[in-house]
Amino acid sequence: MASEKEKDQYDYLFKFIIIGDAGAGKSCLLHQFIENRYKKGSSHTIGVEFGSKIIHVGGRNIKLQIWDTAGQERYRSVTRSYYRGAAGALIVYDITNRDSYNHLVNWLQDARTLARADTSIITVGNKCDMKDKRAVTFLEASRCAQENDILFLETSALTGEGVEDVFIKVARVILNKIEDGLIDPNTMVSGTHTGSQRIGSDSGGEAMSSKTCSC
Amino acid sequence: VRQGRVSDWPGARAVAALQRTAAWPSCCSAAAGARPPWTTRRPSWPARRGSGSRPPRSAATGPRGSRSARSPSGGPSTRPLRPATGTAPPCAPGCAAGCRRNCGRRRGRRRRRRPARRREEPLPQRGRARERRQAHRHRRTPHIRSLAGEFKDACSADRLRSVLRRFAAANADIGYVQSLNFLAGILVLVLGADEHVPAAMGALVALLRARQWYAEGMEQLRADALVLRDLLQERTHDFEPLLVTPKWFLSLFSIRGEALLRAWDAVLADGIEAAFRIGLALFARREEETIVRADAIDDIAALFLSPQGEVPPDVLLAAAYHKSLLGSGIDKSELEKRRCRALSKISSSDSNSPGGGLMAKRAMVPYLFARGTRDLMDAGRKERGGSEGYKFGDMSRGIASRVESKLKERAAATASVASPAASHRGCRQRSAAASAAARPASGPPARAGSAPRRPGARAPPGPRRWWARGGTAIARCGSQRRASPRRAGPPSCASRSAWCGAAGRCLECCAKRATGTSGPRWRTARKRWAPCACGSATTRGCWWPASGRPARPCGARTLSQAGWRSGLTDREFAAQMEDMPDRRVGRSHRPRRPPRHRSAWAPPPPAPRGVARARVPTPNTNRCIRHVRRAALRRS
Repeated sequence: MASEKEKDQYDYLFKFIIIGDAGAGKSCLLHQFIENRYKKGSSHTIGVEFGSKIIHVGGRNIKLQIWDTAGQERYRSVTRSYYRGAAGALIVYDITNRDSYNHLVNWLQDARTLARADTSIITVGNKCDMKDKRAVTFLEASRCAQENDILFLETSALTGEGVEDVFIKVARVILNKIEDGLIDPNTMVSGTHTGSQRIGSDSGGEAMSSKTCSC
Repeated sequence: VRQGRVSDWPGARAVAALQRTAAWPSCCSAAAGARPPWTTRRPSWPARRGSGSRPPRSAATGPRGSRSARSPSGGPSTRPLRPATGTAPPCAPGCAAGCRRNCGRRRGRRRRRRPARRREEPLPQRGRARERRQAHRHRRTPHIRSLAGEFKDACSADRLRSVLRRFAAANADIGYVQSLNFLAGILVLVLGADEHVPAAMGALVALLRARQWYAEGMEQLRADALVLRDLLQERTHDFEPLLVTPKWFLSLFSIRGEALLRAWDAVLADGIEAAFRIGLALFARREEETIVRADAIDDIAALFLSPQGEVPPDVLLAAAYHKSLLGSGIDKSELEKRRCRALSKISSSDSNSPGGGLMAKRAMVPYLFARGTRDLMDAGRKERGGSEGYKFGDMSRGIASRVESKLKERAAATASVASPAASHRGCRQRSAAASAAARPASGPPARAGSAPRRPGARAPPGPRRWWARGGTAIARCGSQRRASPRRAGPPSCASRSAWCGAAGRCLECCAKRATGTSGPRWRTARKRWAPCACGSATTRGCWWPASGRPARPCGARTLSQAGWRSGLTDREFAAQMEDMPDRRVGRSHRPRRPPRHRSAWAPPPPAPRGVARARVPTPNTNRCIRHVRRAALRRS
């Protein structure tokens, strides 16, 4: 019981959303990140799926609460309501599918308008193990990301390459923003909360949060 | 944010009591024989509906039949799957150690009892612990195993794909939506034959009045989430059900095994009410674990979005139909009312929000007419941005031309068409003998009494002409005044919207009445005019304001909104509706007879067209002749 409590403690809770075209590999990416395994024969998402994991970034425990949305165009009006308060957004496209890359702009616009204005956004080119079928080059995608002032990484949910890096990278950016005072972690709307709220009377969380303030 | 205690909900108490006493399907059942009286099985398909229940009935009896080999008497759920022995101490539900121990003890006997063909795979003796556990779970609840296995055997991906493709072709407004494959899969399993599955899916969607669950914008789904949320909030809960409604509603409950089939039974029998009840019961089932803390969203997520494991079907259904769950005040009509309101709320918020307006634009336009509200029209005007503005007739003309072309196609197909009037939805009268020969076989019966339509007549260019035609339409709607007789003065509804001959008021007022936004007498209106199958607020029987349509109801069932949207003809749509068990919509619809004293209803004398046009309607047109005469007498 004690160990469970220990495990449950975290300093911040970040809400991430994963968006992108259908079939880009969003659910597999999430599954690979949470379970470190590739999900064979995964069925498409209806509405939204959840996952959460605690990672260590910059000496802090950060709980990521990841919402994996349905990618089909039809669900867009429903998934819009899931964006609210997301601190980070992962826009996933499929490097073997040019269309999914072309829709990147739409997703970016959605994320910027519906989540917070200062949401940290990363573009993820998935399926980078299928090099022979590549339709989007690394260079052009990274250039596009630079132009739009977002992060960029290529991953493979099948092999697990770069999956963890994506989440850590975004979490680090958000953490930096918190420490610079750009995001107030105590506001619920920001999509990040401090762990002390949740843990309640536990002194650990309090101590952690006070450490944040002194920075 | 209100935080509800779980135990506050009366439903929770009922469920807790059930869980204490009812036989759980796992080996943890406490007393095999003791069953509370309310867990008795609901009849799967009540026989109250007559012949119109073909597809659902087969859906309901299909799995029963297939499973009857195992338990001929009452289905597998009426007895605990694994009767507890006297020696084994009953362990708590969810106690893994106890389960494993008990099951291990009984495994040998079970094997001996069951016929060899039932045992599809032996339990893996070696291998990874996870797989073994999974196999063990399947063994413990064989119906789950059988459904999944059956599906794998019966339903190859190609088969499912072809079914879905045919459904999408028949329902262009829905197309393919993720989650329809679940419906299709279950129907393939249950019906067996593929050719009926698309029709059954269409019927199911129509039964739930849930076309807008799947169509662009998913307005109805969001509206239903609102309704569900209100229902939860009335029970001191605060939770955003939009997280779970896609999973529960779109695929009609992502629960597993026997419980799923039972839930479908209930939905087929009771329609949308059952869907809501089961949704609430699924919330209630998770009650004990103190959910519903708005900040602990991940807890909620873990509770709701993990696959709903082995839900005990008896518990689920008994909880769903327990009287404390929904309360006595909420029945089908109340639900429909709430859904209608929520839908109009959603659509108005869509058109108001800056991002949502863009999103909803495509979804909105077909509904502009049905909702008929001023702000929607204004929104349309703004969208166009031009000085000309949105004209009400524009869309109706578009629809009219669409129908025209459709009818022409159909007429060409039947190849025996003499005049376009023959196929004009049966509302027009031709000379009887000639028309009988000329009428296409599929056309609805014609009715005597109105003038023949000019062949090749097109819809008029502007919205003006149809109400300028003398006598057939009334310029100003006086319905508001009639609805509230206390109000004196000129008619307050100055709407220029189309006149519904059947309802005796303008379409805007029809929509207002149907949505209950105005007038204390909407209830009576609702009794006569059920909302149409697509869930939109339109009133059935409304005439589209294209010219050439008779202003009087002809007695034939008109094309409803759903019919328009699905591209069906009225007859096809009516046939589909007749297959529905809900006869209230399908058959009991009678166009209202016009009141006898109102001479405005009488067909106009066959006057030359020039004369008819010259008769410019005044605001008093909708007073009857007697009324006018009396007034004149009084004045003199």
